[in-house]
Amino acid sequence: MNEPTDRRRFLARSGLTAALALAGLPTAQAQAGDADAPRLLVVLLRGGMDGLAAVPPVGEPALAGLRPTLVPAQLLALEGPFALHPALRTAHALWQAGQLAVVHATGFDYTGRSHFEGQDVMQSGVMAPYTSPSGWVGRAMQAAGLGGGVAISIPMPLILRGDPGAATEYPNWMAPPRPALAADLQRLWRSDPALAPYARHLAADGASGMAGGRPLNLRAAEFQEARSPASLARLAAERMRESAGPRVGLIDIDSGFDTHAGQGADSGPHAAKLQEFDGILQAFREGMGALWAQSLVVTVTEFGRTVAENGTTGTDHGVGSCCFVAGGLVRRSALIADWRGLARDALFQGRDLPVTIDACAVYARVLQRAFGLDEARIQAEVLRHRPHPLLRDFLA
Amino acid sequence: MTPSPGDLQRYARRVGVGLAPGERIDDDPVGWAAAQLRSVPPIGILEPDGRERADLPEGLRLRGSGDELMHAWQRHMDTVAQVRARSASLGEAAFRREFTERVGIPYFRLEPWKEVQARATTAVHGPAPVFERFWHFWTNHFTVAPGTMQNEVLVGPHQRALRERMTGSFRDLLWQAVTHPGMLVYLDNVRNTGPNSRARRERWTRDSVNENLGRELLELFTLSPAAGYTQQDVEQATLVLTGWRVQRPDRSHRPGIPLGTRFVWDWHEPGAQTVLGKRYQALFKPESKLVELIDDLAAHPATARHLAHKLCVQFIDDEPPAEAVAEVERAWQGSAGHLPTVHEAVLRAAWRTLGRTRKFASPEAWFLQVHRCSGLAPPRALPLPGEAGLKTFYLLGDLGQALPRCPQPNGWPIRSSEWLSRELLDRRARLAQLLATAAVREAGGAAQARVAALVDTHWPADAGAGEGGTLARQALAQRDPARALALVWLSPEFLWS
Repeated sequence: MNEPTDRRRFLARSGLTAALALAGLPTAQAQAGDADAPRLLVVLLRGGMDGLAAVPPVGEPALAGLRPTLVPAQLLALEGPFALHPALRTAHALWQAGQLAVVHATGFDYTGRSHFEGQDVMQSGVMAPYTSPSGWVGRAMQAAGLGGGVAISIPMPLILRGDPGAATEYPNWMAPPRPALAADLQRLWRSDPALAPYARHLAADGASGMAGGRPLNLRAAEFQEARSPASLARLAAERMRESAGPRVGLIDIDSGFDTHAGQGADSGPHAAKLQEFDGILQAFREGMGALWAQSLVVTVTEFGRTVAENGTTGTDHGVGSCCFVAGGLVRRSALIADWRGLARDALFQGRDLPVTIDACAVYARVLQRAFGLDEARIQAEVLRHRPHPLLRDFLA
Repeated sequence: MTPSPGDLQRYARRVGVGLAPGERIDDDPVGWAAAQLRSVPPIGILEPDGRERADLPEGLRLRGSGDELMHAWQRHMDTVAQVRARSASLGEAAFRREFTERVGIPYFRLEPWKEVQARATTAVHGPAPVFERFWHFWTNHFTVAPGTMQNEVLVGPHQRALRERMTGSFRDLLWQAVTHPGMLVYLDNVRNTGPNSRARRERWTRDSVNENLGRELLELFTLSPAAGYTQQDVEQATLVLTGWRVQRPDRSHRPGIPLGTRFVWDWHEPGAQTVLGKRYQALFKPESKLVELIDDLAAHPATARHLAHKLCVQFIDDEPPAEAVAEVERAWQGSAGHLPTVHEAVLRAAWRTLGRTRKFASPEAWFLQVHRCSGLAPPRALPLPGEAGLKTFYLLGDLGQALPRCPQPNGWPIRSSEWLSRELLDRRARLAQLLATAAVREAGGAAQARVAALVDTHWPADAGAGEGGTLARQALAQRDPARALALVWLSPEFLWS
């Protein structure tokens, strides 16, 4: 048997560094006239993004002393004491175009500093770890009646669960099941409650040979490239700009922000991850074309990192971080923070950026705008949060 | 009551990788399984007859954990440095070529290939698949993955070192897992330095504390956050771990110093540390602080509870019956964490609750079961330029479980629900079709009869074959044995155990 050896060799080596999921196909009734309904791209930044590296408060005199090797030299200006990391060029262009909001000293009401609890909480939107089988984006789609879904990522991230139509997809090389096998499987899986929801998709995919991962007839470098975060963002945009396409996309950067040692400043491991995120922004904005005006991109990370550099030129697990909200639906560029400085007594337990604005409140505003859900319904069914006056009108 | 053949098959998949064609369990399935846990079976890249494979290139063998491993690690680092140093003179294309040849192929491809190949063939062809599944559990519990400090060669040796401790106590397994160079490197402890250590005071280094291993020691490996420890406990455990380093044969190496894990007082935080209210102090034997901490964490009731529950989630159900967890916890407490006793309690509880529990096979477990239950060997091609054929470790990546590249230290998911998504199922369907087609082609004229026999085992005609049996027999009647074979592997009865 021949195998496309060349493109395969990259899989184990590159691992799975990012994945894309799309969901929220409008229902049949909703399709007409929905071509320019809002689109939402959620980007998971796992490992704990360092908000003080991404958006350093360089106007704080204490910063350089607390972080001798971590503060970038080439900064992109924002406002107040804040600047953007030099890897975030697209974000900076969006800032200048009036399309980037940064919420700083934000995070969840979870201070356990565990990645795994934190990543559960950030996706479920429920502050008790491992207690919710569904995620806040999934519940929001369910509440907004955005049924059905297309998808792209290998596992199903918790954040999308709760919407039975949400599904995943990822660049793949294997041929889909032949129609006879797909039809048999559909019958075989129908009676199993856990498999039944997928039976329908499988038969449809098998028949068309398309969805569930279009077979990519690519050479090695191209296959590798197809799985890069920017390419996944392009793929997301390609699907999401279709008039009957998914309204929600999700890109999961599944590790890499956890820089305990040798974090770097202008360049280095943390900068490389920020650059991946910037590449996603750039590719998605380009890919959405005119629909960018109707789009929002929002980041989610489980926690920030210690304010002070640790003993190995890195940072340990902290609490508050920052959150990016970009897109045409941002009213105007803004740095939103109840900023209390970096003095020890202003920090959470004397070491971490405190959560002064509930990240769930930021996401609630995003859901309100993107899905037309009202505040009371979001509080009751989707995402409990503490509203904050500074978030009142940052979205158009 | 005599157990039904279907139950026995399901149990063999639940705690092992299933029964090979013709393989039988007599009336004591728990005894059958427990017997496989009493000694450590050898691991190797095996042929279907159980012998070591003899056609591999020179030098491609599993490394041990001693000096040999440290030299291999140093060689990897030196090679990378040499190739990088030549990058300017080589030019872009030649540099890439040389890097692929000297670093990419040996360390990024052959290194994980041989470890995954050994793991897969030992589970499918070896004498004790139940042992292998428990080993898979522990390698996942103590995850070490490539990607830190050019640690590719350390991953397999760390995992295999755990096997040797599976017939003793959890305490010894924990010690092995935490102090092996593989873990000290993966979770950055090699740089975790006491802020008041001599190395720090005399400015030999700018390194100081790094919480990465200290936190996971409490959170993942032993107590779990349910135990209610504090940030301060994490910080203090981190200090206890300072000075636990790894000696490589590099320029810092002095004659007479052994290679590998090494406790160096000069990098350790002096004085006492307090974890969970207990003071750890050592006047004459400084490394005994960690020894005591590991003893205490291993013996802590929260550790027993955490691991009893986790083992039951792995082998019994996402929501395991409370009495099963309690039984395992009792076995743990009663035996002071004697692993064969604990594992046997899991086996007993899994058998007793088989009728009301179920687990969806992880991609790896399913892949191994597909091969063992069908009398097939995992694909054997090496990931070398020009070598055609499927490669086992890439296929696991295609299924969503790219061993050994686990993305995070909490390991691959152990819950059924995590392995159910449209994409994951779609990939299993695609791979099943691919493997079934290849197997049928390979079997030639014998394919039809062999698949028919498998279908009869899986869906006995006399037991009300059910829809799967009907569909598979239809496929056979249409002379499409590949479809029938894929249907066996993709049937709910096979995906779940």
